[in-house]
Amino acid sequence: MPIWLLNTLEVSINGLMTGVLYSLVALGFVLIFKSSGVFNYAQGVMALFAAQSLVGIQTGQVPFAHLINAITGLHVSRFGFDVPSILAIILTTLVMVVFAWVVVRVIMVRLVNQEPIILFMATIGLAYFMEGFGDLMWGAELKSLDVGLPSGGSFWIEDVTAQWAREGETYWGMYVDTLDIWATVIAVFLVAGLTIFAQYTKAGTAMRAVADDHQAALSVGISLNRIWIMVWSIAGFVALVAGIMWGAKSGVQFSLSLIALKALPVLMLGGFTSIPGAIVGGLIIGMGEKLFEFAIGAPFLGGATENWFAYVLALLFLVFRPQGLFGDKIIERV
Amino acid sequence: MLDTAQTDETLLEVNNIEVIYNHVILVLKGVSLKVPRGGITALLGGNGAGKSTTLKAISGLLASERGEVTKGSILYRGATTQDRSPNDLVRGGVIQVMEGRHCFEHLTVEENLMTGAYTRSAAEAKQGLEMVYNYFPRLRERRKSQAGYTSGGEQQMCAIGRALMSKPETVLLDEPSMGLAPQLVEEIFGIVKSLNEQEGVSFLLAEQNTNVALRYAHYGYILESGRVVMDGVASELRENPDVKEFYLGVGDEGRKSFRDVRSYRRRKRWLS
Ligand SMILES: Nc1ncnc2c1ncn2[C@@H]1O[C@H](COP(=O)(O)OP(=O)(O)OP(=O)(O)O)[C@@H](O)[C@H]1O
Ligand SMILES: [Mg+2]
Repeated sequence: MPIWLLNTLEVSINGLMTGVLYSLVALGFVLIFKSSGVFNYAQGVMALFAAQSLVGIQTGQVPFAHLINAITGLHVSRFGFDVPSILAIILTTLVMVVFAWVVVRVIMVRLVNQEPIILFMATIGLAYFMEGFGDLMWGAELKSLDVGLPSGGSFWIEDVTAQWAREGETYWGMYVDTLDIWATVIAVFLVAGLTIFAQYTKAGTAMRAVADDHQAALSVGISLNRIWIMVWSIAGFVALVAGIMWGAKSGVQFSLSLIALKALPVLMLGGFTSIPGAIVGGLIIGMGEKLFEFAIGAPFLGGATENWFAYVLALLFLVFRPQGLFGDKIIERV
Repeated sequence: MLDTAQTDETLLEVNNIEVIYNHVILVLKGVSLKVPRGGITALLGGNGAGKSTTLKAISGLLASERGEVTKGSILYRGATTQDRSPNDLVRGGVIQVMEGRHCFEHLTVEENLMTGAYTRSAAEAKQGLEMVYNYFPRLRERRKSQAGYTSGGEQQMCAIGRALMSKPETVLLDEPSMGLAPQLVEEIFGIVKSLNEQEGVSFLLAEQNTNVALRYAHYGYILESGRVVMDGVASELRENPDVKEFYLGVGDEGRKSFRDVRSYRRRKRWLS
């Protein structure tokens, strides 16, 4: 293979893997939007909060240490033990379930009959509240996150691909991060698990029923609150997974919550109500922005096109196909 | 209709209720009715009379439409239904089949039916499914189809079947005849009748199609602008000259409002 083709392939693969992350964040949006008609502005902050909680629990941080110290004059910061990653992930999931419960009980239930825009505003408020709450609980400093996933370039892939170049050309092989590979595998399992849950369980069927028709779901005795708590919990778990992936790469700090900004064009592309749309949309945008930067952006436009490419692509898409790739008619709340 | 199934025991009692939407729109202005165990009770009236609103007030669905019962009471088996959620009422045996079917269109027919058993155990759901397929053989044929792609008649059957999956004691059935060919209407009412007689399900049936409804019901209430203007045994209502004129379309004078008819004295019961 010629070198330029190998390079393009490498960029595409890395793009796809970034796309997996976008897909996950978009998936969280779609789940909540489909089942409750709420555009959850706080999805990105949920990922940040989940990652902060995970690191905090893992490293045995005392929650609200600053607050406790300020009030009592003590100097607590850590319990002095580490919690194994798996246990920490389980505990963080529980934290996200509690969070889901509080959101539904305190916000959703009270605003249930309001206009969608009011619910949207409520999630903006929620996002800023959570951001502050997360900092208060775990501290705002940059933290590194390590749940034991391997990282660094895969030597195996490098060795294998190095031989794909034509005779006489120097090529060192492709760089593919093992962390990305793991993230992709995990994401595939997560999506498969969610699909099986939605398709074949009683709660999953009820969840799809609620997404289809709120009123009818109520009429057959499905409790909307329970389904919403479930959906927000699942979205919280998806946010945790996204937070782990991003946090393992770039550390846990405020900028993590900005991955939500990457999910927005994915939703415009894939449709707000389509799970396959979120996944395919994420992959297209992940790959598209890397390829564009590689082929056009860096050589001709002075680079840094990744910041806006996704939005331009999504905008073009909106003009020609407003419902997105796979989106069905946007479901309005009752 | 034979009055074999109907008993004297009152299951559901609506006492002079007033319903307001959005805190301002007064829609029901004192509706009272009774549904006996084992009966088919018809609630008749034209567009906007308040039939659906009455059913939603009973099933607890009003709250999600910003409606509120502001006066009067609704008793099921003697206990008030105020503040009971639809979920709780379905568990207690009262379920509504909404106007316009409202099937879950992206779910298959069988998945639709299964959602009806949300409040029941897996074993009960399985039994229920057999029962529903026996009454609606057509649903068995279409069980794997997406409900959104089935015909109007099949969707109505699906909606009724879905409600039956909750093992109801009382079904609040809202306009099952809507948009269906006369033959299909007869078929569906026939099934309602056999469900009533064989499974002992009581029905409160909201209908604009007075003719069909009074042939299948035991008792009827006529609603106009949020008030019950007349009630009686179905066979008597069918013979009543005013009903004939205004709702069965067999009178010979021009149409006027029911309330203008002098021969008719409005009855207001349970008025406080
Ligand atoms: N959610 C709502 N908000 C405000 N007004 C409503 C609402 N639902 C119904 N109404 C009004 O209440 C009145 C009664 O409506 P309802 O649906 O109960 O009538 P209906 O007898 O079922 O009529 P139809 O035969 O057309 O179904 C109508 O004037 C309607 O406009
Ligand atoms: Mg109606």
